[in-house]
Amino acid sequence: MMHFEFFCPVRLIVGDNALEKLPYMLESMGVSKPLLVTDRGIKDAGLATKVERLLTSYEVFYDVPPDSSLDVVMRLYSSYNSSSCNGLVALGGGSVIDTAKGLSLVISAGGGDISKLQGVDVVKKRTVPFAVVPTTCGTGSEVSRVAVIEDRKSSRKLAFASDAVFPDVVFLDPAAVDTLPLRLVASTSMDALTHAIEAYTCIQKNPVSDAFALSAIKEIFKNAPIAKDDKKARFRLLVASTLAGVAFSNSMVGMVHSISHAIGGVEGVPHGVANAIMLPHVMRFNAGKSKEVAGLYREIFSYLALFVGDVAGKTLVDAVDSLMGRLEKEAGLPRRLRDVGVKRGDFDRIAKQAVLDGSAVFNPVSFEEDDVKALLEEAF
Amino acid sequence: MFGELVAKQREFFLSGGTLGVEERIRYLKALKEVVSAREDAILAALKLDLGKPRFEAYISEVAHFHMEVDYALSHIKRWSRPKRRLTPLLHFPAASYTYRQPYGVVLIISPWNYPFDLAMVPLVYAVAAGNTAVVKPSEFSPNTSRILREIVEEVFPEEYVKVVEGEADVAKALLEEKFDYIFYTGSPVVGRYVMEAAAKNLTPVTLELGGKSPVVIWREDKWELAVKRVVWGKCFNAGQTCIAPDYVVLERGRLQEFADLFSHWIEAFYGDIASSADYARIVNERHFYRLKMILDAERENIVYGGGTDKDRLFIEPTVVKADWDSPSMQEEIFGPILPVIEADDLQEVISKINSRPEPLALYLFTSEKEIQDIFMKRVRSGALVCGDCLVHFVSTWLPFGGIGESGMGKYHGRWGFETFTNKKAVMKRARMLDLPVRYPPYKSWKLSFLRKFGSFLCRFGCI
Repeated sequence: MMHFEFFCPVRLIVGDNALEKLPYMLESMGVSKPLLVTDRGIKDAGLATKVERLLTSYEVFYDVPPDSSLDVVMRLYSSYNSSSCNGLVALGGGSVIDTAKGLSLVISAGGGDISKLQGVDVVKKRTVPFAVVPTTCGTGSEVSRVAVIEDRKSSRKLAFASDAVFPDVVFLDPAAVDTLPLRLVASTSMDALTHAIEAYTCIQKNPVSDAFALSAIKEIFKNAPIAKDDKKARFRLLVASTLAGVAFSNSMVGMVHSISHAIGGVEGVPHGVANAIMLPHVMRFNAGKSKEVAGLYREIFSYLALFVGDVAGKTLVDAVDSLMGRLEKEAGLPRRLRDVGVKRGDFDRIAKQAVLDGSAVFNPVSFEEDDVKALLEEAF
Repeated sequence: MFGELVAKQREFFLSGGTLGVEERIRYLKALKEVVSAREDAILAALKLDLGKPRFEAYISEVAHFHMEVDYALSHIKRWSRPKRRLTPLLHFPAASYTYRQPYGVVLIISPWNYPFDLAMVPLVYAVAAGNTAVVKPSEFSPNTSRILREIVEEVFPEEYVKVVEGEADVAKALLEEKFDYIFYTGSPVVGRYVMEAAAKNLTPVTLELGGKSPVVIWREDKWELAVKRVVWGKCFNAGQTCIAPDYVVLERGRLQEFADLFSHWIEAFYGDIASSADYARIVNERHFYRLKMILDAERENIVYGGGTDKDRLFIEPTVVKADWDSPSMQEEIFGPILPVIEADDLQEVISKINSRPEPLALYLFTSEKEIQDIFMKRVRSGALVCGDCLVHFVSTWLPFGGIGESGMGKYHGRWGFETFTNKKAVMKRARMLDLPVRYPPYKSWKLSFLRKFGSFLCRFGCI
């Protein structure tokens, strides 16, 4: 019997100049002074100024690091309190969005230690209005009910899942990805592709999230190869990443994520890059172990053959491999673990953490530490 | 197993169900329409079966089908009309005709490399000629076979045309039945088996086989263009083409130059070929390993390429330094491996080619007309193309087919129609005049009359 829930309470405002609706939306949510959470890269690209110009009274925090952690959230909380803000705007990639999500949880819990809020539904309701402007083509975090934030003390990534972390409104504006470096367009698109493929194949898959996943996969295969000089393609990738986010938020992700969370925790490899590197290897593993998964990959590939047309090869793994090969050549997407600084000596630790990761149970094929090590070796 | 189906089709044929030319036209037009409507699905199926790039799939399969069917549609009335012939004076008064009568129930067995085109084009001519048909597409291209069946089911009733899917045992069971014509496209090994099975019922056959189609580059001024076209012809569908350039013969000392240009054009066409969407895959693991074995045997002689990826059924275009007895020169390669032989003397090349099984096509790149003439007259091959590869396949004004080991019988254009019809002689004699000379008793004057005037009476015809 089929049984599933589907939930996505986020308003999407999409298109050219979507950002200009930000003041109006904040006002309608009763926000008089938002805290703008962003990072240095966004500031240097001039995006932060673009948003700041739209706001009259606001506070801004530029210092979210690329691999954010719980201390950053706590630092943010104190500056939120001291500046008497009453709303949140996250402008950035996965790290910024998740940090802001963490902050919204702490605010809603009325302060205290954020690590106590880890787990599912610890905070039931968010009390602070929350808007998100994603600036990469991959996180999907803007529409997911999970925030993943690193705990520096245990060098592990903690997951915070709750309906409270969904933002109220998300702005998808082409201007937000215009200046994104090609390398990041590539790695974040592969991140989104990972979300969509895992959402389509993991055990909580369902027809509603399938539709989002397929649509995202199609857009990514169509647009990732041409994103180099095509602004429209970048924007479509941004939309695709949100589609993929809706998909995996409702059907969860699998083994690629368990491994890449572990790689990120141990070595600090950006989430999107780790996902991209592991994706084809895990797909091969899953397809080899389960006829059902192989069948699902075939389904996706048939869909691509019908609607994308110029996709390489005759299997999905082949198509993914080829797409990554192209992105490696054209955008410098790393494809091996050794290229991103992972050492063989870390395999044991990574494998240990990967099997304990929250997303491991959703993978369609169960796996052991040894399987993970074999895949790491393959991807090294 | 298929006795009932064949009986049903034969009954339909004998009842005259296929004889109306207007009806045939209507069916072919409907077929064309359904193919157009399902074009995306066809291209997607070819992608799933062979990883065929959309462009290649379109031009070599769908577009070629339309071209042949259009040509057939515009000529079918003319072709199927009885044609007036002369009558020898001897038989005066009489009228003579030839009539292209359909054979009856036709069996079409098609391969996996161009699974749509090589099933549909013979079918178009079988139907245009007024036959019923059973089509057995290859089991190695299951997605395309399924689409073929759906298309045919949408257009034709089962007693007219039927697509039968299945493995080799199905083909075997079909060959047990008595057909009126068998049109086989595939390998020479199975071709022999088909002909043997056909012999039991004296069923005529067309065999479209393969073989090692040579490329000869000799005294060519436009070297770069020659290599460019060879690269294109070899890499089209990853070399899995019955008329693909199989090996290259060139003047001694030019191998490195050839390999350099080869690599230049691969780079220009595909960039990183392993991740290019414009390069097809090997059809299945069996064929992948067959090609891998050739590569392993030639490992030391690889001049360019040699890369493989089993998971993706990918084989890189590869140039191999070879001689006439190399491992890569034994069987048809049917993949992206290209042996290159250096030769000293054109006479030697010609006698070598003539001493081997007859190729389906021969590609000659030369700037000298005399050499073209020599190859046209002295070398036996199904086709001779000067200055290009593959392109002769797409012409409705040239017969396509092999000779000797590469097959028998031709099709495409009017040869397609002729293949599927019996040239029936029809003579209508008048009864008002009845000369006594041929009847017994054979008096001696009758013989001497015929000796004197017989040749005259037979040599001059009248309408």
